Amino acid sequence: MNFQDLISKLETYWKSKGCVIVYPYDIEVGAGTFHTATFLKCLDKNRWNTAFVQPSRRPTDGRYGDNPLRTQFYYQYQVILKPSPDNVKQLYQDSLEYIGINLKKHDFKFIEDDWSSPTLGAKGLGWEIWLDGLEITQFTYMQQMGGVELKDVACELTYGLERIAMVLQDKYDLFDLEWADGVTYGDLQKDREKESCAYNFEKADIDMYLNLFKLYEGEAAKLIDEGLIIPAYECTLKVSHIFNVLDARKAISQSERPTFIARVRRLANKCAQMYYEKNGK
Amino acid sequence: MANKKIINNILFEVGTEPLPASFIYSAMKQLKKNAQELLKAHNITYGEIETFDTYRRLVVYIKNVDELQKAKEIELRGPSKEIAYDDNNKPTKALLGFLNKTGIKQIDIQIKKTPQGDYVFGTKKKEANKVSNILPKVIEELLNSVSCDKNMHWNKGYTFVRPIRWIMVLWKQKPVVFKLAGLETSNITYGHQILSPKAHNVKSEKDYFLYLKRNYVELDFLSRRQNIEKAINALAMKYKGELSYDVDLLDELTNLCECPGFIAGSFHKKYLSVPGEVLITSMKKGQKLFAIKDKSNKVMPVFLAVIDNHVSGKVEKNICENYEKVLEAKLKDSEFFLSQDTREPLVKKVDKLKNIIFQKDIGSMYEKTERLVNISDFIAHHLGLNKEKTEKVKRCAYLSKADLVTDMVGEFPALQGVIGSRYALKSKEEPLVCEGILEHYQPKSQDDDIPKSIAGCIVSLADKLDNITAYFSVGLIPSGSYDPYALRRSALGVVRIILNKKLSVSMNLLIDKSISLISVGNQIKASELKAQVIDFLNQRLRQILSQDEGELELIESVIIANCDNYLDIVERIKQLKKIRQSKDFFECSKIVERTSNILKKAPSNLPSVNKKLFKEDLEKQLGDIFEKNHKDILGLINKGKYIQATEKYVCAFSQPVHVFFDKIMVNVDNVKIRNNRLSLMKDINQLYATHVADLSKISINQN
Repeated sequence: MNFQDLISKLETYWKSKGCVIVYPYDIEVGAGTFHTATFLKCLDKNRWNTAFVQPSRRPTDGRYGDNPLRTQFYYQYQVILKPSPDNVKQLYQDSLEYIGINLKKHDFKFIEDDWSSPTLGAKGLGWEIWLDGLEITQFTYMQQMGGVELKDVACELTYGLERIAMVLQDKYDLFDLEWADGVTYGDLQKDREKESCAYNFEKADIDMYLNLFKLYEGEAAKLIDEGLIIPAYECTLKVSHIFNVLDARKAISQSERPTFIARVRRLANKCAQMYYEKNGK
Repeated sequence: MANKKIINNILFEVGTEPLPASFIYSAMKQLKKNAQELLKAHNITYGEIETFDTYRRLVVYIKNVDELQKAKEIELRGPSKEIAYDDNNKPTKALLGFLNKTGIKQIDIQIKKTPQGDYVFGTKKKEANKVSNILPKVIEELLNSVSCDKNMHWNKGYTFVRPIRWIMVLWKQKPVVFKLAGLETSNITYGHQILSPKAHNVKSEKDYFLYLKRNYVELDFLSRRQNIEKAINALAMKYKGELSYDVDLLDELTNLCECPGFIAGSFHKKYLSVPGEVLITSMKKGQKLFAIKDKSNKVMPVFLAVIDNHVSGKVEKNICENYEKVLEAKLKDSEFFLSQDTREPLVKKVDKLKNIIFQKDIGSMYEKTERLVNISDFIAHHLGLNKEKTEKVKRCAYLSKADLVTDMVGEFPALQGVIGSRYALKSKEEPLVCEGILEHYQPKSQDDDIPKSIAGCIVSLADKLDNITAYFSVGLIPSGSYDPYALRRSALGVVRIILNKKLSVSMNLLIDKSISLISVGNQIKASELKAQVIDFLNQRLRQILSQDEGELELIESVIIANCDNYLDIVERIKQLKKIRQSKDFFECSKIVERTSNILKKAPSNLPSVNKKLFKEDLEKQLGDIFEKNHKDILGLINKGKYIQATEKYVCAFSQPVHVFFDKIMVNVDNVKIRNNRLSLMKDINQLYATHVADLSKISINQN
């Protein structure tokens, strides 16, 4: 099964389970959790079931395209089920069977992993799901978002699409994966990966990014004061990505790191708090 | 009891989503203990409790349970004796009412004294409840009693370590149905999550155990563990490797599988260029694989994967290949770190330690490195190392923390020291330097070896002492169970290295040196800090010495006297133990005790002895005896001849001191004369009590 078919299959499956299919966020994010369809919607008082692809950027994970498993840009498939249904584990296992993984023919393990995002003030308990020693999904019962305790616990299923495609296609270099017939993942992504690594690690202008951090931080704070939650949150996403680039560029010393992270979290928490006041009660 | 007891079993299974491996062992112990306590509290008699745990179920099997609670007698107080009986000693209405209400017979009542006077008492048997009636309550309490560091919610109004999805309760082989944790209990269980996912209606206890066995669930922790051990040993035998394995990993995998199966795989030999420790850590952390080492302790290019499945043939081969491919990717990552990290020699990384914080109020790792070089230099000189060796020790200290800025240590923090040493070797540093870097975190625990090389010993000492003084200087002092920087372990390490390696070090000078390198504020603070550090180290010293020697009082008296040099302390204890039962020892302690008693009320700033102030012949004589003998005694002490020093001390002072106390009044009105006499007592006391042992601290039985 090629990459694009895998995405369609997951979409079909989760649509049939009542999920609203939405589209990737159009601002750089580190994970599907940053998408408003996760971060803000988890705080909403209403039921919310959704599924979407989220291209994710993790500048420090770049390996110039030399590593078969790690890249600074990849695709997550994100599912949010709120409130978490009783059969969520079975639903997840069935989704794997649906895309063609016969679990009886693999080693399938749930490894304790209590996920948290210090920049988002988000916390959850759950697992890394390992298939033959490869982490293919993060499975989390979200307990807190933007510092707000969730009244309805949401289940977040984050599939690593490349990893799952590797198992399905029996190719253990993600650049060799078939995206569509005759087109590989590498054809579409390799140059971007190499050049982005060179940029993130070597060329990104540190002064400019430090400046941008401040500018977007100020803008977010201003928008928070004006009660424009989503624009404020979007500026927060910018701040978060800028921090990640600075981090990859090794421009932030270890002693300063927690302070930078706390600055992002402060903004995210405020957005969450405002959204919760408006839509969560 | 005349009736035959009817006994039955309780079988209770909580089915959960996968439990954290680390929690399962604790759950197993908690369940057994809590079940025992609860059954006792509810007066339920039983034979035996068994518990079983896998990642997906907690099982409690209580056998031979009495069908009725133990009857309980309760004592009831009736009316007072005066009210209960009339003048003719006949029961009054009040007493009859009490008997009527409680059902106690008149002949069974007793009169007892109470603070309020005499009262009527009777005992009543509380009705024994059927276990079946209270079982839901007991089971609920048992489930609630399981504690965990981190619990979660899952929209059922209940919290537990992971979501609970079914609860099975059998009593007399039949389901007991009630509401618990947002669920209805039943007789339903499930086999292995993937291999046998269907619900099963349990018909009996026997059916339960048999069903699980046939449906890929090995309930018993030890059986699962033994199976894995056997597989590792078999693989090691096959490759003629070492029969040793990581016990933590074994326990973890035992709790990650309900039906452990095994896959032996391999990886390309070219990755053997990656340091062995990295290979092992990468396999363990990344994929929970067992590494195999050959007889010469080198990692072999093979591994054992423990899977939660039973497979063979093509499926087995496929899983194996998947494991191998993922491992290869991870090893490639390690290779990438290795090439990135070794682009420049290790020494170039030291400067980057400026960006790494040691502690926010103390400074960077670079500053710590500078202190380590300084302290190590001091210790090397102190121990009389030659110039060449001293330079190597300093180099080792300088490079000891450099690996903290490498990508490899970033990825595998537990390998600090190991990575530094490997990179030092690649950067063509001297073997002693590399060895020292490798060893300088040792001993990491109470059972860990101390460093073998002199560089490792010295830098380890410097590092640990610096940890203690630095954290203490900003008030981060361990108390109770609070010791986040493991400073007790550091102190224990300092003491163990000195004693084991027989390093003759003046702790006073060493601690002074260490404190001089951090900014403390002022002199008073510095001396307070020093006293705290010495006291902290001495606590560990006592702990170690008392393990080896016993004799707590003797150890204490020796440490109080003088704790500058640990080797000297050991020597004094050794020699004094030899004469512990002798007359000399007894006499000596008498002298020290009497002189010390009289000094208890003496002013602290006594002037020196002034011969001109001696009034009585006896005190002049004692003054002369001190004058004549103290240098000789000190000479013996300085040579470490403590037995002879003791003998000479006793010989010189025993008789005259006692005579002095009998005939001379010390506390006379004349301050000058009084203080002069006290000064003489102090000189005599301190000659022994501050050089050998303060024997006033010891209880003496004269034989």
